[in-house]
Amino acid sequence: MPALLTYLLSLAAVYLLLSNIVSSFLELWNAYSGRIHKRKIFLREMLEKALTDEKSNLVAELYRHPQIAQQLSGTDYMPSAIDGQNFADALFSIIAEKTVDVGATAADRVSVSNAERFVQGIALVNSYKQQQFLYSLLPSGNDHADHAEAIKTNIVKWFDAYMARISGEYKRRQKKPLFVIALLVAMVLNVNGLTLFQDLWHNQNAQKALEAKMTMLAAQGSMQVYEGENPKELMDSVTRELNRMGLPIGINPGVWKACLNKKEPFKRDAASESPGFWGVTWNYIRLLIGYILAALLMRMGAPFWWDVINKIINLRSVGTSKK
Amino acid sequence: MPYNCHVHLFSIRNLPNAFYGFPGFARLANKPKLTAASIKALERIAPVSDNFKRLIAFAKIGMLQHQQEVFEHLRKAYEYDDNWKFIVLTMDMDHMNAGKAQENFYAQIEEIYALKKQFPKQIFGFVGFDPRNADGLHTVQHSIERKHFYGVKLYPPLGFYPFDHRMESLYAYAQEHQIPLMTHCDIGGIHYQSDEKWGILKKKNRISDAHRRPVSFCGIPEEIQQRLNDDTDYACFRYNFSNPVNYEPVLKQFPDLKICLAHAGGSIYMNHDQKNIDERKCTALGTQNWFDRVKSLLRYKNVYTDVSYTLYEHAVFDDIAALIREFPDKVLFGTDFFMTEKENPEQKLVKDFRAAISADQWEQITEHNPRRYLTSSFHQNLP
Repeated sequence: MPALLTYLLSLAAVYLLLSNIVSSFLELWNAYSGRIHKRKIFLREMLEKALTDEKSNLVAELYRHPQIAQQLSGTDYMPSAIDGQNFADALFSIIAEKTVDVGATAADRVSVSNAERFVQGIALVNSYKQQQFLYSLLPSGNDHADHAEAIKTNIVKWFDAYMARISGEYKRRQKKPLFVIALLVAMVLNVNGLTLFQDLWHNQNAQKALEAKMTMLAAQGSMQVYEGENPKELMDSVTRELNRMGLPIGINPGVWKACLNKKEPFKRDAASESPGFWGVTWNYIRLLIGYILAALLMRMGAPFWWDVINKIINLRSVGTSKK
Repeated sequence: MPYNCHVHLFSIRNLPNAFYGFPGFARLANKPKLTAASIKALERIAPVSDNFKRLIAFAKIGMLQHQQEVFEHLRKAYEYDDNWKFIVLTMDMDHMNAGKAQENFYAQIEEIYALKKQFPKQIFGFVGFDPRNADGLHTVQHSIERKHFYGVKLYPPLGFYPFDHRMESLYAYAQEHQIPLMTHCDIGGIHYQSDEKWGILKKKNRISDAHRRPVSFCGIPEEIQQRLNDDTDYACFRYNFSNPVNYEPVLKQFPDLKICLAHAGGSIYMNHDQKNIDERKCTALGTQNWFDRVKSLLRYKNVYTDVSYTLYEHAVFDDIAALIREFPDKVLFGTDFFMTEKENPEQKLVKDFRAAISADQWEQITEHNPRRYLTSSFHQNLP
């Protein structure tokens, strides 16, 4: 049983390392294909879904607010990500500012507490739907006078939860390019999902080395294996390390040529030197299936594999402590 | 303390998606780098023609993302002279059948309100009204009574008639409180879109039943009724919305209504040069002079007109001067910034026109008349 766990752990470790390469290439692709811009539009659309209707447009006000606008550069008008605290500060300020009349002085502003201004400001939002949403952010209890921080904390909580929800939607939209990149990585690095199971099963040294590395990373609580490197460097580091462990991963055009000569599983005509047309076709199909399988597993993403690794380590430690 | 009674600050984010009939227009708002680069590239070839140069200058402002940025352009044109005051006209373009804007009408109002807080003595907001917006009157009341807006902007070419039955409550409210209305009275400007995509490129467009058979609270002028039946070409039909004759039945019912018929009917009707109109072969336009019609409506106690957009044509300065002489208390100064940027820069418009009329006339139309026009029961003392 521990041997099987070690094997599964090392398999997950290989895919964690490879998923990291895929993720870094995806980031690069996003940067150069205008997808970061699409991410900005996606973020705005999702916020508008929650905070804008036909009677009000809080998102437009938020994006103009200095807390958010100041983080933009040059011709940029939309952020690709917003910090929860900045969002809370901006939303709080916009709602509270609605109570401030034209020509109000600084003295007028401090005459009422910030939290009270926020509560009064909600009534001045044009949309009943938005008002209801904003009231739901108030902390329980009737006296909100001194609860500005509690209100902001509630806003941050809502924002973080909402961002987590929409990141799922964003990931779904990213699945296609992620698969294409994963397939390309699998083909370039010769990651054959079918043969990797076998290779790793027979390579005890690699299993042990990967197990040790993952145990160390789990203890540190970080899945970042190689920090601050560009995709090319990351790819080199990972393949170098896996090669050292004896795993046949890395650029190798020979595998395509090998398909022309490999006779398995069509061994019937042992006398013939060539695997024949169907043999060659099958070899290529098998290779392609291997790459697709590897791509599908890499597409699961580093967080998924990191989660699997942690679960296996936990499972193993439970077994050890029972002993 | 002069007033410019007719300026627009809306940005590309406030324009609906199929603005000018081109689907995807508003999406340009999400491509600021692309639009900036395109304008920069066009600027390189702009010097070949003055008209083209002006068009690029107009596009440069029109492509700005925020009204605050447009306002900065305006302030720069007036050399940051804080004595100048501006009537800023918002427009409800959410119902012109051109799709959604990146930022809807309410965002436009909130932005102007935020600007008013920043420039309380310079900005005098007018809130747009469209009878197809069920929340329109409430928005007007809320904006005027709580957000320091001073008046209401009507823009009938977006697809409604001034005599529409849903306008009655607005007129009653405006007359009761002497709230100033500003309405578009010129054949130019933007118009409601037909139901067809790329409609602007097609000769014949579908005219909706609601437009063909409107319900009026005060009657439909005979001449307009005739055209609603006869006009089949959208290019001509759309002018029925902005025809000044539409205000006759309205003013009969609300004789104390304070309303400015902007653009004085259009410079095309001044100087009696109707060549362009005849070329269009629109019966709706050729039979009567809109400038004369506007003048005839000035007999009502609280009806005003302004000279906005006409100022780029020096040929009409004499007509305008005569108009001020004839109705000294009824003419307001306005430029129609930034629409006029495609004709002439703002500074030049003001400077040239200032030189064409007397100091008394200038003072009358930039100070006395605007102050009277802006005063309502909600705003007795202007800042």
